[in-house]
Amino acid sequence: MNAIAITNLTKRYGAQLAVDDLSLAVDAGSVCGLLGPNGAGKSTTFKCLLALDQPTSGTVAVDGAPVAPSTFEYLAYVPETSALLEKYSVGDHLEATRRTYASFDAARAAELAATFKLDSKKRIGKLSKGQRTAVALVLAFAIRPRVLVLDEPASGLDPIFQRAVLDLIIDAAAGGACVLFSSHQIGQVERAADSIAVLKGGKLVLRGEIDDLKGDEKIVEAIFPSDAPSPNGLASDPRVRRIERAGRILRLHVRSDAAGVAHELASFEPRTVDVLDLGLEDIFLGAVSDDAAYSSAKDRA
Amino acid sequence: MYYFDILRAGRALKTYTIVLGSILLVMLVTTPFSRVSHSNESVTINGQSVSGALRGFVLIHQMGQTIHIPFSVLCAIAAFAGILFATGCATSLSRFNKNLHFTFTKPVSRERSTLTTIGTDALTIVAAFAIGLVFALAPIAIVGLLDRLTFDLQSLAVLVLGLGIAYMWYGIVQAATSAMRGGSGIVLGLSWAVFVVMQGLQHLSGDFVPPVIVWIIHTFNTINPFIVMNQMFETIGVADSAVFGPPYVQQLAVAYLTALVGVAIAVTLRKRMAV
Repeated sequence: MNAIAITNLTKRYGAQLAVDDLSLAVDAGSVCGLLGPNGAGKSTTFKCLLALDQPTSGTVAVDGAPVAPSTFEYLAYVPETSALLEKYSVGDHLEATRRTYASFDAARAAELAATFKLDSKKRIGKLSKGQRTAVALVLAFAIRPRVLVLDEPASGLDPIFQRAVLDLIIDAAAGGACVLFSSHQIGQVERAADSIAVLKGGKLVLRGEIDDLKGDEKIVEAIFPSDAPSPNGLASDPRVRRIERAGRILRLHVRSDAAGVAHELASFEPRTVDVLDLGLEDIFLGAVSDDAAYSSAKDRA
Repeated sequence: MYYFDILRAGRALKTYTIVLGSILLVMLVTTPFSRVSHSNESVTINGQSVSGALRGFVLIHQMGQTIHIPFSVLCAIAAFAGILFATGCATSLSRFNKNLHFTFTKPVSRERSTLTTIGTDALTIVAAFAIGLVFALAPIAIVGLLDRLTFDLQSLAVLVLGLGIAYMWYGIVQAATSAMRGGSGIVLGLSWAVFVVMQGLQHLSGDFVPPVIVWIIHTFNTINPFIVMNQMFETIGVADSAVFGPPYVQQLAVAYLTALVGVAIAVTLRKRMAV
């Protein structure tokens, strides 16, 4: 059974279509990174998933049942912007959470608070953005949830704490939790997630396991002294899946024989030619970019 | 949110106590000297002449021996202070609306969460009435006039109706602001202004304005806390046999029903809120 199952979710705000017929399932014990440019519908998807807003159509289920107050016994949510009560202290929030959840693990809360160097006496209003995020994360992980929904969970944190958050996510999934999280930091998603879902204009444009999406594809990147030329001949080459041109840079997404393609590209007299492994950033940009500078070649996949 | 409601209530009562304590302190410092300046009478205790504040307290004590202090007057003072306190609590839901991502993702239904906040406020308002009564009694106790208090049926009537007025005003403001994410303080301030103005218009004659306007004003004023407060103050002077007469019962019913309707609207709005 999918821990999270979103089926044909559509959300409209008046004439604006925020989420368009989205179907997405995430299994227990896995981490799914929800990616998309600003305004792609990620936060709206989270709101509908958490019953903070009503879908226009479609259904949402957690552990096979519609979201109800009891769902939050085992589902923890960290919003993108702090929703903590500014006039109250970190300790007050911990105490309120302890009183609300039977599963609250005080020792783990203390350990996490120490990890993020949080002072329990400090009022939320006196904390930085990153520290507030850290408090929300401590509260979320201290109840040992089975489902975690995290909207930009490392937002505002320094690199050391970002790494700690990713470790928490990976550790939770290893313990059987289902994690759905969004981030603009592709590197974070690449490190923590097993799979990704990419939204663009409210639509799901890409979904899959990261390893599967990367496949054997390579990138041949050439940098020219002046604007990159149009690589005539290679555009119709079956080895080349996609061509991107941005100023002096020419990138070819190559299915096979990357070395051979690089050799042929050398005939255009670039300054450098490199064969690179395909990164998640390339996959993401390929999925969401409709900028002419980035996709002068049509995706023939 | 129950824990935060308790913390919030504690803080509100602490502030309320400090404000009332400050007023009492100012009163205790100024009143004896005011009394002293109005009297040339010398005062002796155990054969020794006393002056200053102590003389003032003794003069007040002596004056108090000739009068009776109806407990209902103290109840009215406590009720008035409690009503002011209740209006301060009346935007509690709106003030939590910045935190709905936190509040509404807890294993507690929206209705229960909202009713918990309102229930805590309701009990806090009762506590504010009790604190107000203590502070109303304090100066009388300090000048040794507790034995001059007369307990009457009107006291109960004043407290019950006063609490109803507090809840009524609270309910009206909660209904208007429970779904607001900001600006609830302005609505609260406006409620004061509107109720005061409408009370002033209560005696507007149909000779000067269209009868429909008069009708609207009178209809609105049935739920005007200041109008109901007049009934509360009038209750003090009513004979025992007429305390719980039809006008009182009618105002009592209006106050508590308005409060209940306001709370029901607030709960419904919160239930339907999109975050």
